[in-house]
Amino acid sequence: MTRPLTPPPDNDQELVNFLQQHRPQPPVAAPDLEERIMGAIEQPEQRQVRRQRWYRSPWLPTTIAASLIAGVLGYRTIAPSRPTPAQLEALEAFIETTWEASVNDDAEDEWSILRSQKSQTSLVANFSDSPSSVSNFPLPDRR
Amino acid sequence: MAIESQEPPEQNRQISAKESDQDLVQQCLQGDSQCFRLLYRRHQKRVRSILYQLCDTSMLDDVVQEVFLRAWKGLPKFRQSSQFSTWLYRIAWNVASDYRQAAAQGRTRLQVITQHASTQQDAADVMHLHYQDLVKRGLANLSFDHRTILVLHDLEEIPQKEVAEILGIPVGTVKSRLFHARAAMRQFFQKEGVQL
Repeated sequence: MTRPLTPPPDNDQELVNFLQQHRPQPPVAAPDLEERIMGAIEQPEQRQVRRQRWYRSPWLPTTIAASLIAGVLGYRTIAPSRPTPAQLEALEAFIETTWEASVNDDAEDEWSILRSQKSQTSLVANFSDSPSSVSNFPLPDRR
Repeated sequence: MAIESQEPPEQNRQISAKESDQDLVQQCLQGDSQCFRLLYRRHQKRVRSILYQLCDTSMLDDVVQEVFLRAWKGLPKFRQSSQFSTWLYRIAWNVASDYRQAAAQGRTRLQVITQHASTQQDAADVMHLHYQDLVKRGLANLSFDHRTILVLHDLEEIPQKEVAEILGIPVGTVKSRLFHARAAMRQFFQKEGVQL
């Protein structure tokens, strides 16, 4: 059996009347408040522009596209050109000879091979565009 | 037609003043900011009163301005399924909550200097001032939730259903909070020697 809802106590109304009768009154508004508010709402565009975030900028897609194009063009300009078949052959020969030297445990043989291949390294140096080539690398003198 | 168009602007405004809030909102949305002036005049007194009871602020004008600016900016998002006043009071409550949080974070909070003080007061006025001060302190003594309910329902006489809509809570919660708020208020008055 549910209990019937009890009506609010009589003194609730007395309390409410007391509150309404003695409620604190807010101070009078400034005379220009209405005009201030109307003035503020009539310039909403400027406020929006100030609050705009960088990632909402209309220049963002343009900037990204320009960066990509500059990156591709820059890579093509800076990247080294392809070697000629003759240079590739020389490089292959050099790798074959030096490979033998690197697997050989005998240090004395290694140095002798390296010395014998000194002339070939100059060829490889020509292959490279850089002046700091292998030919300039001082081979150790074991004598 | 020609006669209507020759009416002075003030008269046109008076005609607009008879329009409903919804009509004025529609005209605001079409860019007529002067209609917002009418909405301001209709609702500013109550908004001001609510804010004053909830914030007890010395910067009341600024807070009122903030409420109406937020309302103007939010008009395009206003779903006209509810009343404009309900929506506006919700904004006022949000602004009051923000103000409270800012005050709690340590911003300077100036004491309100009441303008009622007078050197020549008769006894009735003195008692009225005393009770006003009591109500003010009683409201300040309540939690923000309880104070909000008491201000909206008992002081502003907004129906419970609308209060629930403003605060986004069930009507049952409004009733419960109202019960506890009144009990706390009564207890405070008793402690101060006022039996209600």
